[in-house]
Amino acid sequence: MARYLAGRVGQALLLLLGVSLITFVLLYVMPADPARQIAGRSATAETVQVIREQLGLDQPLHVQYGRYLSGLAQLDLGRSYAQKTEVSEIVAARLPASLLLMMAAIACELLMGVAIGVVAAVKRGSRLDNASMVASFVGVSTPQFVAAMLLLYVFAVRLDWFPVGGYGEARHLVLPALTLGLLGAGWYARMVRSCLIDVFTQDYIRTARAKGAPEWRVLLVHALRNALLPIVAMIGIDVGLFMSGAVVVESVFGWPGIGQLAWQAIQQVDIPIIMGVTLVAAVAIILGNLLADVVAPFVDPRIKLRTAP
Amino acid sequence: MTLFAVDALSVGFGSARASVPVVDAVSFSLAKGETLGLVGESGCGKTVTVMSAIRLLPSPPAQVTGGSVRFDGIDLITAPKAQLRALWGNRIGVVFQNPMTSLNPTFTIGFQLVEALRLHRPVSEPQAREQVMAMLDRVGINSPQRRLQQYPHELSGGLRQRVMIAMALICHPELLIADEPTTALDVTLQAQILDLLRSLRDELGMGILMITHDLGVVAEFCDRVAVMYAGRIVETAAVHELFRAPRHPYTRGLMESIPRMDTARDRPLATIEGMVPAPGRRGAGCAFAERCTRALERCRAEAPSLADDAAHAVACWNPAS
Repeated sequence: MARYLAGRVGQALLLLLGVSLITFVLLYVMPADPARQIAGRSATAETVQVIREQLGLDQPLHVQYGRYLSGLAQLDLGRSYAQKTEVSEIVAARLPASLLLMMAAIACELLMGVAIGVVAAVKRGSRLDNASMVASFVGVSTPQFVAAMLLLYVFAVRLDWFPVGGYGEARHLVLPALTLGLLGAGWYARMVRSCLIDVFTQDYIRTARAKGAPEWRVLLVHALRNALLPIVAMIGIDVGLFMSGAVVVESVFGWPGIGQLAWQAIQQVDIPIIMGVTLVAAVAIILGNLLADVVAPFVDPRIKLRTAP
Repeated sequence: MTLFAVDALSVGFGSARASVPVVDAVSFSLAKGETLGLVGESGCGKTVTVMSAIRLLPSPPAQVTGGSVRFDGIDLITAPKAQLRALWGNRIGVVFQNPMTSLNPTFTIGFQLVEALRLHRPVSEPQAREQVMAMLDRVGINSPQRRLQQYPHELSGGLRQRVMIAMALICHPELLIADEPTTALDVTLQAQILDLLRSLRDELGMGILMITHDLGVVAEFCDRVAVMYAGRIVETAAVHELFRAPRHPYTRGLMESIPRMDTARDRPLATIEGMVPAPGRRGAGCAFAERCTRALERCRAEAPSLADDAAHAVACWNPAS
């Protein structure tokens, strides 16, 4: 296990290096000029030039990247251009909100998705099955902003059950978590259904019935356990996705997480923040996948973790 | 004393409107402690007959279209699910054909065996483990303590089939259904498993219904045989009687196609020409007529029925004597 983890961490570091390089180059070739952005529209060309030199933006790309990397090696993500504070502090302040939203969203899609998937698989071919598959198809194909706007309109504007946006109380969490959860539940429902339908045809399900196990036990113990592995893998993917990709939902609901920070930083051409957020996103995706892989042997005992030769 | 009686059981597949008959009015019975072999080639309906008789075949698509099945006086065809569940794994044990896929890969052997016992007996977890280990010991699995912690994939095919047998016998059933229990195993294991089943049968006094396509297994293991062809029983007799004087041309064909040590090496293996007619394509006459060397005019027009209550019954218009 220790060797396996060491190998995975090594892989992760290489991956992060690659991500940082690509992001850095992309931001370098971007036509927007951060110095001009900081100085403001009315600033003279001299002022802009001074700021550019202060930030080292006049240096060639490889020098800039080298400086960035040496900072990174000391866990220094740089300073925000716009807020004049450490990037690490800004990002750390945003993490709890994103983590909270991520957990709520995953809980939401798991509960709904697995429940719908199980019912659809058991009642396969029925109207209930057809209806839930149509609903989940709508779920997987609706853009996040459409779902967010619909929920806002119905539950915040019309019914006034939940606030339009904000952060701090449980009621603020409901609509953003529901937006992510409802759409995500579609994926889970479809996958659980197809996995279970496959598992139902397996010989060991017949064995469980032949033992005299009641039908609920056959389904929830013997069958569902064998459909758990892809669910775990999907949770791993969602951990990374929601930590990095909840930009739309966080922006719509004014949720002060990583996604909103990224959105603001892009508008302000705040390169150190963009770099920091990208790195956090990459780490989240890597951790999410690692989590799923480490849990897998506990879900399916036939899986053994091994370092690639 | 009859333990298990199948009477004119017919089974079809498909919807109620477009049902394809697969099993056609099959009857047989099994006394307490008796071993009956149900023989026939693959696809003749052996497994469908037995699994639908004990209601373990999912319906739909399988549907019992006629007949009755009694187990110790209980009508299994009309019995509610709850009553069936109280019988399954308890008074009726089943050993399936493929031990490699019949155990749940995500649970330990111990979990699956303890579950089988505790579903029917009000015993505590530690008591159940005791009994399970005793049963594992009985089916010839050494160091049962360690086996309980293992997963199916950590066991060989022979061990898994022993586990399946232990699971089927854990509640001491009166009827054991063994569906090709040795087919997936290699020959040395086959003999071991049959020996094991024989000694457990003598010890526990259970009736065994052995589904097999292997006449060798039948000769060695069964008291009586029923030979199935295309969804019907064509001949039934005591084992020694059947082997001494097979009467149905199909039974004779089966026996002649067993390779023997004393036949000349350059002689081709005896086979039965042709194919089993597919379900739904069986005509009015005897289903075997197309392949039969003794077929008469009558065979193609009218299906023969099995003579009732005879010690050696045969469904044939022109049986060998």
